[in-house]
Amino acid sequence: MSEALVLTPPPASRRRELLFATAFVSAGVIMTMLTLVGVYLAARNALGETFLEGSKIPLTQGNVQMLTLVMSAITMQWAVYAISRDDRTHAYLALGVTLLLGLAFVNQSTFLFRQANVASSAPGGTLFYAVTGTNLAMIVAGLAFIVLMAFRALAGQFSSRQPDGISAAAVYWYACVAMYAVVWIAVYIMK
Amino acid sequence: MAVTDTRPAVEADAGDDTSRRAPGVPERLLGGADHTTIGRLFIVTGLLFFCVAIITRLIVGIDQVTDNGLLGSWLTMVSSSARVFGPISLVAVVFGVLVLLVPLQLASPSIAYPRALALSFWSWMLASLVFAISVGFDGGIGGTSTEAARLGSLSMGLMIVSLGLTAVCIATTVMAHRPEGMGLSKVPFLSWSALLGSTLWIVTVGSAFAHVIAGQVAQADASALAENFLNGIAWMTRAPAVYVLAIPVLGIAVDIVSSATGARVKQYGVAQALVGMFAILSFGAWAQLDRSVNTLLWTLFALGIGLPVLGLLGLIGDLIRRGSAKVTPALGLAVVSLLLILGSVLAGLLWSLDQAGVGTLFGFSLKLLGAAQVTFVGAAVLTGSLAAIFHWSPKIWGAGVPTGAAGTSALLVAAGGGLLATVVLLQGLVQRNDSTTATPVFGGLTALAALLYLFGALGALVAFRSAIAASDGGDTDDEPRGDTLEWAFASPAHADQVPEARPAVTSPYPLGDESSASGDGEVA
Repeated sequence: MSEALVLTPPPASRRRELLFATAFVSAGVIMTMLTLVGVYLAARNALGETFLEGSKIPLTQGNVQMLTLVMSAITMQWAVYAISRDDRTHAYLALGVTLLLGLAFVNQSTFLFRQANVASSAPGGTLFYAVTGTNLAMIVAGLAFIVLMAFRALAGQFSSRQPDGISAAAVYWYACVAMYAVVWIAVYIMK
Repeated sequence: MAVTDTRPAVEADAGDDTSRRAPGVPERLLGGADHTTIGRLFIVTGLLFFCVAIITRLIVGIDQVTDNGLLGSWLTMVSSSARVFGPISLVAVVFGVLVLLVPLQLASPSIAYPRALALSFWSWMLASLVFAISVGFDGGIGGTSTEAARLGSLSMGLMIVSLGLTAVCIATTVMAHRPEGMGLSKVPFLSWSALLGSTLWIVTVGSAFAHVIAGQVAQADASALAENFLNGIAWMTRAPAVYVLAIPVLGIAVDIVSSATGARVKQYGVAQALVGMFAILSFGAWAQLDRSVNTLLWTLFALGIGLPVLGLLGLIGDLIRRGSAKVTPALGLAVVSLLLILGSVLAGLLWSLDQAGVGTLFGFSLKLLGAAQVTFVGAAVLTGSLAAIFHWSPKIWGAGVPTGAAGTSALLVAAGGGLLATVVLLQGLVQRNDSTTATPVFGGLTALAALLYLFGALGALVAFRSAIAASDGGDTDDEPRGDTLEWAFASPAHADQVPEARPAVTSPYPLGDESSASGDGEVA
């Protein structure tokens, strides 16, 4: 047999690199959401009674969505806890439940949009969709992030020694939940 | 055959002929993710785009001299677009410097997420070109064509978000790529200011991008988009948010002066805190509304930001006093860049005085005072960036820039930038209550300053070319010029490089520590 080829190991990924990058991106996204909510509130204040005239935004769906996301934050933390203790079964289970709750949120959003029947031509109508739509896009991006990290976890890339991917997904997910809480109060509660 | 076996010779040769062909220049340029290459691309492209913005200012100046005989109804649109396009191009230049140098200062073989960095560069460049095209079709910012104005708004949003992605790469590198022993308190000033500047840029553009979304979702027409810009995005071009662009300049100035004088910064933590204070006071997303400018908090921000600049100027004076400074174009530009930031603070001071209490005190043109602030800061960013490029030229281009070319360029840029900003400031003070007093005179001075600026920027590009030519000819200047880790790398720098020396990090000046320990260096 010929001489064995010496394989060099791949460079180890930097510890907490993904975590920091996610935190910085989350900060930018949070500022975008907060500014949109600020613009929405300023427009509502300026337009008064005519704001979203002809539409009726229900509260029930918003409340259930908030509850759904709070539960998903708990299950996401469960995933972080499980992977940092090498409990893979529970980590996969927690990630799966988080994804399910996230998809439920998306489903509820489409239902709410139909119920509210906000016309984009109404005063403030486009702002309503700008705020809730951006928040929905943020959540969908969070779901994609969790799916990607779940696949990487299934491939064995994360463990108690390197839990960064799951932790990073959790950081972004918590930012999503916090931003929905702001939208929930500003758009659905204070309407 | 097991995968660990060596391939037969024939197979290996075949592989060499086909799959192992070295990538050509276009492949390396388009498909590469070497942070040094991307940094150089940012620098050169940003400077070229900035030259376009300056040519536009030149045209605006000529238009004012000829009593609006050149641009006609396009004056406002062209002027507003140039005032946004120019500073964004300068952000690209300074980010190019940071992208190239920050990993080297941290002895890291690469930047964090190099492919995301490449994506950010190409998307920024594409967005800039689309923005320029939209200006040509009466869009840009404040144009009358709705379709072109929407294109302009969207491309401006893409430009700032692309540079936001660059900022994420830079900030993550500083947080996650530091060598063992280098806590944040021992990070060199360039990297420290890069971390703060990138973070502030991320949160600032995050807020500005919300208005781009609101404008696009509303499918606003041209006039509504112009209003959206004035009410939602223009705050980025006045105090305090405009200072975000200048944060890296502070770190560049301190590192250059420390390196040029051979003296170390005493009370390193205090100096870091001054840069931190400047960064905090440049957070301006809270001051988006016009009425937020007429508040005590805004006045405190506008005045308070002068303190860290004065503190850092004092620190630089102390370094020059203690060290043995050799006057170079880089050193001169570094000091001038801080003075230009002070000029911007002065414009903010005049603004806050005018707005104090009920009504206005002097009736200054606030629009022009805001323009003066961004012009001063833009000039500071350009002079600071050129100072960095001249100083770290061996790492960037492979050899030092010729002193004559660099000196001439530095002089023209400093004079042009300073004059242009001063002209706008004086115009704001003279043309009270929206009068048009002496507009042709100010137009002539604007055109003259823009010409100086343009020649300076083009001169810098010629100086870079000379440095590259000297490097190709083997005339490299590899003499270490500082005590920070970037000087341990061979010149020119490239990704996946290993530093020639890797001393233990016990202070912000690891190379200086090593040379003083071996007895062949002097620690001031």
